Amino acid sequence: MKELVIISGKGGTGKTLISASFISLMKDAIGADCDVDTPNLHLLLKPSVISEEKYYGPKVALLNKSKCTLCGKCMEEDLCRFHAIGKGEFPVFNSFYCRGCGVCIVICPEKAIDLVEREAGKIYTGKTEKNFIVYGQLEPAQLGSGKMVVQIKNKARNMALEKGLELVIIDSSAGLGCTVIASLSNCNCALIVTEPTLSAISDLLRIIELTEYFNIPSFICINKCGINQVNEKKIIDFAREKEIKIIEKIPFYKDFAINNTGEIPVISCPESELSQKIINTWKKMLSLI
Amino acid sequence: MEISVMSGKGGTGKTTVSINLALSAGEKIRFLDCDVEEPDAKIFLLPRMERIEYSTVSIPVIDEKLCTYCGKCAEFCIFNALAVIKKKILFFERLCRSCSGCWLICPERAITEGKRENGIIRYGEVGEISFMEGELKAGEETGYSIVRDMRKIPYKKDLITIIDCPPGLSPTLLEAIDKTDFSIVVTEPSETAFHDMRLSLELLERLKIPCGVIINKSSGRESFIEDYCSKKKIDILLTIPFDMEIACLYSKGIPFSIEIPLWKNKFRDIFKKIVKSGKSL
Repeated sequence: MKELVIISGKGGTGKTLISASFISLMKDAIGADCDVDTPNLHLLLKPSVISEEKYYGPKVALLNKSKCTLCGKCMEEDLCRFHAIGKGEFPVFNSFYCRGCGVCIVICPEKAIDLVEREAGKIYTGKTEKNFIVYGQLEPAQLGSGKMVVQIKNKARNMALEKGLELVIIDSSAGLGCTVIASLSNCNCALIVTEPTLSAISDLLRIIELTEYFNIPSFICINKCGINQVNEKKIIDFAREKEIKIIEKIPFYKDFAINNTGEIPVISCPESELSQKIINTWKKMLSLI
Repeated sequence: MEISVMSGKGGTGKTTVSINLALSAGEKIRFLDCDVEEPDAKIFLLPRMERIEYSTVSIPVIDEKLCTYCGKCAEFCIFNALAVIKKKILFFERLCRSCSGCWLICPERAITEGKRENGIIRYGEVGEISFMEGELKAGEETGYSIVRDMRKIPYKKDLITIIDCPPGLSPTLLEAIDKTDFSIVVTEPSETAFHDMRLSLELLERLKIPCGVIINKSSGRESFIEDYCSKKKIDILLTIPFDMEIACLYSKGIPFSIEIPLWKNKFRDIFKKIVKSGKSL
């Protein structure tokens, strides 16, 4: 069983479209949406949910007012490094900012503070006509997104092993922080989807630092080709210097950009040029994993 | 006044809106690029960088002469950044979230607070814009502390700040939008961007931050976004059409309001409108 992760650094280059297309082209793969803040894969693949489970993030602090003597120790400036404790009649514990570190608990002489479990999101398993996808929705601004990504990946991996499937396709979030690191870790191979814009190139250089750091074999797919040939050449030169293979250049299709109806082109119009390009990308990717 | 520009989904046009707004304002602006994982605004603004500062986070410094390897610190650390194995103490700096717990609880006072670099903050100037960007080191897990440090830098209160936010709804995003006076949510007419716009608007409602929407890459088929916003009584501040000229200028790193004066006026109008609404609050 192998794991392929789709990353980009910059958002909006086409990660989810590529992931959804690849998953649709398989009849024995599992998809994992590891963008837990803003998951989108299910919007394209439209699975029916077959199971959902609660996700518990880090615990949060809760004050037992009957034990609190208003000594003020937990409210002292900079005690809570996450600024989760505000001043009020009683100390105000803001679970939105609390990271569950427990510092307020050790400082409280009255043992008036406890850590409590809190549901911080949900993990779903969905079924499409041919495949399964695992995805999650984390509540906004929660720490522990990396932990949720790990749980989603484990679930996808276990399903693949159980069902004897060959491949897990992981759709990562944008950026290069903890969710991307968690998405990348232990993957067999990464496909970097980029575009010929200066912003995307700048982000490409940074994401490659990360794949090198984690020593993950990487390939590049340039999406939206044709809008800037100078930048395309920059990407090609850079890939050559880094010895990263560019597996496909997908042209920019204005019609697709304007009439984005939320359909997956390889399914809704498999004969189109765009679909043919994506199918080619997929075939090349399969031969390289 | 601080105006944050967010989107949820990446690639909808946060940076495009932020830079064009800053360039069209017609007054002195503070510009904060808080997309610390992938800061790109400088590509468009080309500021003269004047200085850099290293951004740091607190970490434990362990004096092994005092340490008795009792393991209390490792037991306490919910982030698993410390481990004690026999006569050895290990610190995993990238897992540490600087909560201060370990040096507060160490019975031997063997741990003190130290600092570690996790990124940089660059300061620059260009025209009327005083520019600042944060950049997280590759391999670091989270950059919210960099954004917090950037937001804490003192400035003249009559200056208007524009904050280019990271995508997603992470703790880093929260640091970037928290207590801003107005937030612009940039979306585009796709199912995915619409989904992420709704999540963004829900978060802003929870934080009680006044907001408006900009529809980018419009195809003229975004009545679903307009209907949603009108139901929620959220203003659509501007609609930017899908346009090859704009896309090509973007690819070259050229702000389109400089090339197409009509847009400069439109951005100036919404800037004035937001500032006026901020003053009346």
